[in-house]
Amino acid sequence: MYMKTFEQKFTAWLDGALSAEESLAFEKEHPSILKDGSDLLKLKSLMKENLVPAELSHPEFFNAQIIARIGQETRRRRLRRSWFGLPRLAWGGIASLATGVALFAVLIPHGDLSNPRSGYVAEVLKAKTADPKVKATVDSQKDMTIIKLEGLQNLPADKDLSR
Amino acid sequence: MVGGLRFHKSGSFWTGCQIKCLVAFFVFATCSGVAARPEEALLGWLLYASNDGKPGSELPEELSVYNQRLPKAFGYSNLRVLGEGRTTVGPKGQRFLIFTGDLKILVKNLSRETDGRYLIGIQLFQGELPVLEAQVKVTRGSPLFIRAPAWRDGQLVLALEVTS
Repeated sequence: MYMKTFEQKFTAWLDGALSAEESLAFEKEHPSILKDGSDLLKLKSLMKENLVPAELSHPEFFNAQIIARIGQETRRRRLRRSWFGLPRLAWGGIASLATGVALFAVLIPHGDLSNPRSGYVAEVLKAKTADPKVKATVDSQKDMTIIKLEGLQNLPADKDLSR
Repeated sequence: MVGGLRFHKSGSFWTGCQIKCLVAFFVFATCSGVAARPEEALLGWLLYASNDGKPGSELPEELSVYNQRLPKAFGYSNLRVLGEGRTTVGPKGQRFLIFTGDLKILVKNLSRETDGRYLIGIQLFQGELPVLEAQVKVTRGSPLFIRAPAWRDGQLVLALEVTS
C-alpha cells in the first residue's frame, strides 16, 4: 500500500469510500473538514440528483454520424499523407531545384548588363602563322586584345578599299 | 497484369501520374528554352587607322568605345570602317567573312563553352594565302582585334565580335 495524499483521502472521504476507521481517523486529523465537508456533501447530493446521463432519442443515428465523421477525418489524413509524404516531398524538391537551376542557366543572361565591356574577355589560345617570315604576337591591354602580325606585305596603295 | 505493370485507379497512382506530368512539362519547357536560344553569329569589320583626317564612316555601336584607343594603339589618330560582314557557324560548318583588299577570315568553329564563353577558330587569308590561324576564347560583346597589313599611310585592322 502506498501512502495516500490528502486530496486522495479527502475525495475518498467525500465519496464515502473510506472505511469507518479510516474515516474517523481522517476527521480527527483534519477537524476543519467537518464544517466544509458538510457543504461539499450537500453539493455532491445535489449533483447526484440532477446530473443524470441524458437518454438519446436516436442513438443509432448519433453513432452513425460519429462513425462517418471519423471516416472523413481518416480519409483526409490519408490523402494528406499521400500528397506530402517524405519521399514525395524530397523528389519534388529535387525536381524543382533542378528545374530552377536549368531555367536560370538557360534564360537568365549572365554578367553585368549595364556595361557590356565590364566582362571583357578575349583570350588568344593559339596564334600560328603559315609563313615563317610573318610573326604573330598578342598584345593584351585592358578591354582590348590585339593579335599583331608583323612582316605582312603592304597592300598596294592604288588598291581601292573604300566601301 | 499488363507487361508486368498493374494499373489500378488508386489515389497514389494518379497523384504519381500528376507529378510525373508536371516534371515532364518542366523538362519540355526547359528543352524548348534551350532550342529557342538565338543562334550565335560572328561580326567582322575591316577598320582603317590613319592620320589622314578624312571623315570616315561612323563606327558601329559595338566598337564605339574604341574610337580613340584603337588607332592610338597603332600610333594613329583616326579610325574608320572600310567593310563589315556577319556569319553564323554551326557546330560543323565553316563560313567566310570576306572584306575588301582580298582579306578574308575563315571561321572554322564557333561554339559556346560551359562557362558561357565562346571558342572561335579562325584562319586569316590574304588573297589565297593563309596568313594566320588562331584559337580564341571570348565573351559576347568582347571584340578581338587583328593587325592586318598596312595600306597607304595607315594600318588595316580587323575586328571580330560574337553576337546573336
